[in-house]
Amino acid sequence: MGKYVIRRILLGLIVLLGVVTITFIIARMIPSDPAAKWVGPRATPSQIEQAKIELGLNDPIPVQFINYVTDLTQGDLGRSLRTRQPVVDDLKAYIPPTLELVVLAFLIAIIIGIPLGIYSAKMKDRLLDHVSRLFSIGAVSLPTFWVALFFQLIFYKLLGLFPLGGRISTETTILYDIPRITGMLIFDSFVTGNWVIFKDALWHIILPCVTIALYPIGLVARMTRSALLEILNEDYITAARSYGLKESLVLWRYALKNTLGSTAIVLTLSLGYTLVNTFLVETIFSWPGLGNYVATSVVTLDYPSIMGVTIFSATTYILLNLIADIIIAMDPRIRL
Amino acid sequence: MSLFRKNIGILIILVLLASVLTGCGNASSSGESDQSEKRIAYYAFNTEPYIDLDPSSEYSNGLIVLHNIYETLTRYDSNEEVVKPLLAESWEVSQDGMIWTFKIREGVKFHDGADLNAEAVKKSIDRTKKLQLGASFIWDSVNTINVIDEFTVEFVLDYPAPVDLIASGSYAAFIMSPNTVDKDNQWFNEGNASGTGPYKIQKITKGEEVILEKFDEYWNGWKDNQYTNIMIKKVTEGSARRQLLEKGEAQIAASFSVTDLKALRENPDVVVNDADTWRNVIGFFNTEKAPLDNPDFRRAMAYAFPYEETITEIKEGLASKSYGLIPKGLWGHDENLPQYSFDMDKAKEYLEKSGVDTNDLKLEMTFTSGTEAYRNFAQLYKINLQQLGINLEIREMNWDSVWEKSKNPNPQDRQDIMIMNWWPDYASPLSWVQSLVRSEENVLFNLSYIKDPNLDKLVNDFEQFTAVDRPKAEQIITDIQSEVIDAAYFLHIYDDKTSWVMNKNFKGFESNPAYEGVVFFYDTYYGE
Amino acid sequence: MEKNKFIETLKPRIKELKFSLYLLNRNWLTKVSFYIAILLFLLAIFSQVISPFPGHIMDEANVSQKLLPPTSVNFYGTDELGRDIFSRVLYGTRVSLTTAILSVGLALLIGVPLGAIAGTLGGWIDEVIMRITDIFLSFPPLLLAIALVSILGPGLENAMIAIALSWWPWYTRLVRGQAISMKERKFVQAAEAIGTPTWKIIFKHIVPNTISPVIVQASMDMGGVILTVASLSFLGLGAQPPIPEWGLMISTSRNYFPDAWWYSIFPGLAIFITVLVFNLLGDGLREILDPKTRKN
Repeated sequence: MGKYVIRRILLGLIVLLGVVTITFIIARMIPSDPAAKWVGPRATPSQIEQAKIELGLNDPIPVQFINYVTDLTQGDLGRSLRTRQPVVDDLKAYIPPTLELVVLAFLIAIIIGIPLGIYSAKMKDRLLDHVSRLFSIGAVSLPTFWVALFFQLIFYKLLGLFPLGGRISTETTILYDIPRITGMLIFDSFVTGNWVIFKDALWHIILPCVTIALYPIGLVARMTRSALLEILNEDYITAARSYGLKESLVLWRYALKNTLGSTAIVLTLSLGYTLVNTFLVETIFSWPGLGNYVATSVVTLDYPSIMGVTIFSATTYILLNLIADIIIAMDPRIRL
Repeated sequence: MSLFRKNIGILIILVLLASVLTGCGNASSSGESDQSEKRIAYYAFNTEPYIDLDPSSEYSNGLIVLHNIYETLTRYDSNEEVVKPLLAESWEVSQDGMIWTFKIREGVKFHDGADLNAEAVKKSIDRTKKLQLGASFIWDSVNTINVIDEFTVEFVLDYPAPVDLIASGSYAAFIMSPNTVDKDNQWFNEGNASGTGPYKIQKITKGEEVILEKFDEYWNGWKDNQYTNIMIKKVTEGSARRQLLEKGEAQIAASFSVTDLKALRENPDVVVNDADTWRNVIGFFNTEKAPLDNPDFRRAMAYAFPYEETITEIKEGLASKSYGLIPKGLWGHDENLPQYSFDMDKAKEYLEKSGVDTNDLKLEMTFTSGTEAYRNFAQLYKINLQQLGINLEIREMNWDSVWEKSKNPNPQDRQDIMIMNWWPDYASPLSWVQSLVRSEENVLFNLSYIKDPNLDKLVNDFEQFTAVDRPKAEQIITDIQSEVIDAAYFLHIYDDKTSWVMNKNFKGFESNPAYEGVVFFYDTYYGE
Repeated sequence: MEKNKFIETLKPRIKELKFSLYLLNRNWLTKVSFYIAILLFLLAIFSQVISPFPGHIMDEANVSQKLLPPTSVNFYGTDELGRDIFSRVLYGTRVSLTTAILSVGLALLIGVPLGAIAGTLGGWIDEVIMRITDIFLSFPPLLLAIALVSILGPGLENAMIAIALSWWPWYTRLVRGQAISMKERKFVQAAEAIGTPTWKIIFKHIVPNTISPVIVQASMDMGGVILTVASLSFLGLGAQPPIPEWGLMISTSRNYFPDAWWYSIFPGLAIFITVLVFNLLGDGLREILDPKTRKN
């Protein structure tokens, strides 16, 4: 067991190194002159030369690469060409809002998706099954940016129920001291008991959150349904039934427990796609998160930022996969 | 361990991981939550409110923030078309235009308590010159700055230049507290500032918003109904800006689409102000790449552009016809200059004259994405060019990519046509001819790649005459424009207008084309 | 003699096919999506013939008629240059389907052989290919596409390449898994025993038998790819004007939203229906081709 974990960690590190290498190569291939960008539009050639030396751009590529990797191991992701701040600081500012969105969206997905999947499985091939199957596949087929626009149209313009965008309203920002513990407003204000900010933040997060949650809801519902169906056909369930156990007991205690593992894993794997959706939704709701940060970095060809974000997300992904793999290893009953 | 608990465990680990990663977040200095007497003005801006908060080096949108925190020696009044005193009370210039003496206003304090005096002025401008970043080149004519007495400062130049105009510039002309001149760029970008302006920084969120609060000791005093807090925030979606205005949450915004403007004009709670600007949209022909190296071919291309349709239909009248390089409202604008108009017959005539074979001819046009007008007239232009047998490929990219491509060392790898808008660093036509016409060794903004020694000489002459002989300067600028138009180096597409939309209670705002996008909040007030 | 043998090998395959069609018939949701999919392909092919305003697709404009609401002349209204949105949405079917097929095709071309080789040969080749696959999978998908497009420049062709490069790892993993279980099968071991060269084993025995899950995945991925292309175009990185790509149309429509709501609705609806159809098809195909269902 321990051997397996160590092996997986080593492999994870190799993959990470591969990601770093490829990101490095791509960043170097993007046509732009980082030294000129650092100095500014009216740079003189001598200033650019100076900047090149400072930024280490005159060193041979392998040396640059080694420097970059060494910096990485110390947690230094370089300095953004645009904000002039260390990328790590930028990430610290922009990750919490995105994390807030994604975590809440996943929570909603689980709360709504699992019961939906259970109903589908119970009523297999009846009308409800077809309808909910249509719904969950539909949820997965919707273009997120389209849905976002729609929600804005209906809930902001027509009904005036929710705010248009942003995380909190203008007045709250100026009039109140915002608590900063994790940077996630809902959590922070809840924990410090600041109810005005809590309500304000909650109202602002609902629309973008629900928009992002649609895809995972569909995914979770389908996964739960198919996993449950498979399990319900297993022998030990038939055995339990033949012993006269109540159907609901069978369903909840035996069957359901075993679907949760696959659901968690499928959610993890959908993280990539969900992040992409979050990115688009952040643009439409003016949400100051990682998506917006990446958008601006791409637009300004700020390669340290782009690399920083890529490496961060790749690391997270590899980490989560590692955790998922270890869970599978620990409990052989989980099969995808 | 049950699976369910395992999964919850993972969730908790993730949340804790995130909190550890984010630590304690930004340092934010928020004022006391004193909710009394606050009057907030919210300016919803279409992109990041600033790139750099350093008053010496910022050369981008940051001016909309900086002009409320800092002040300049003079300010340009575009109604009367003269430079007016601000931090300088008066000034005089020597006969040869090489020595300028300014009298500094007394009794003015910086946000940190320091006094405004000649020494502070010298330190500020010396700093800007020394850093050599952003628009600092506007001070290139200045050799030394001397402090004559406590409130008198003297500029000694290497060649004649209009220092009063330069000092009124949108960029690189700010006066900052002497205690801050030794600070580095990072200090300013953490939200520190000490200017003489009516507002100081309360809170910043990098790349998102700036919140300003009233500077009580501002030298010009305060009245009751002025705004105490200003919020300038990035709201990228036009529909979002519009909805903020409609709900009364934002006080002022700009950059709207034609449908948004139509709806806003009909809204009684909102006032629309269509203002002239000194910003014009120009197309640049790559004169170093065939067939655009052929002047007759360029003239054909110029006659094929849908100028009228662009102004009437695409901009719906929110633009004026361009006459040459200099926009309406700025001296040097001459409506007697010859113009190209949309004329397919002339286009075909010049095409034949040029001898260029348009079989299989593909031309690439680049511009910055995000401006609906560019995209629209590009498509109309493409349709017109099809009639000449030319296939125009449209490439919308982010500004950095567009610019990089235009600076490619091999002219063959650059674009064929590039669209860009331009506005001056200070109230002078010099900006256009200096940046767009004068030949460059390293490509910067002369994106038609003009290399004409005759034009270069005219540009240099113009620079010198602006300070000493204005009528002669105006003649020179007209000559430069005639030549440029005849050679069809550019497409003079239109002079842009900005539609400012504001809440009906937001009063006192006047658009000043010399300060692109700037709202001088001190002049505004809340009125019923 | 050879011909008869060949026909003999076909017979069980035809029987399987007939059985599949029978199952298809029974599942009405899948059947309906199958027919709609065919309809979409027909629309793509004949769009220029059917369009009421074929010139408006790319070659003409009518700016004075801009942003008009839906009428009996312009079913979906007009856009910012006065072009008929219905004609453009119709042509957009061709753009989206072509892009999807080419992207998925390219991804298959890269991914399937790699997976088959990795699964069959095993050992260090397997490890290397798997690590490379993991590396590509660790990239957030859109980020990889954006990075690639930043290098190559915007445009539909480059978007296709970028998407193919993000998508191939899934097929590799899939085929590799299948190949590993195939390896143990009797007919493969028999082929090995008689000395068939490895490449022949891979391409004549293993690959054809792993086709079904790949087909299912590919048809479901059609939907995903169409969404990704739309997203890239929405961000300005894919199709360039004046190409009538659905994502690009929605992106442009945002300037005029919500007054010209028709401009956003109809292209979005087109995306939704197309993606839905392919997802349903893929989902249904999976149930049909699933050996468990076939046993019952």
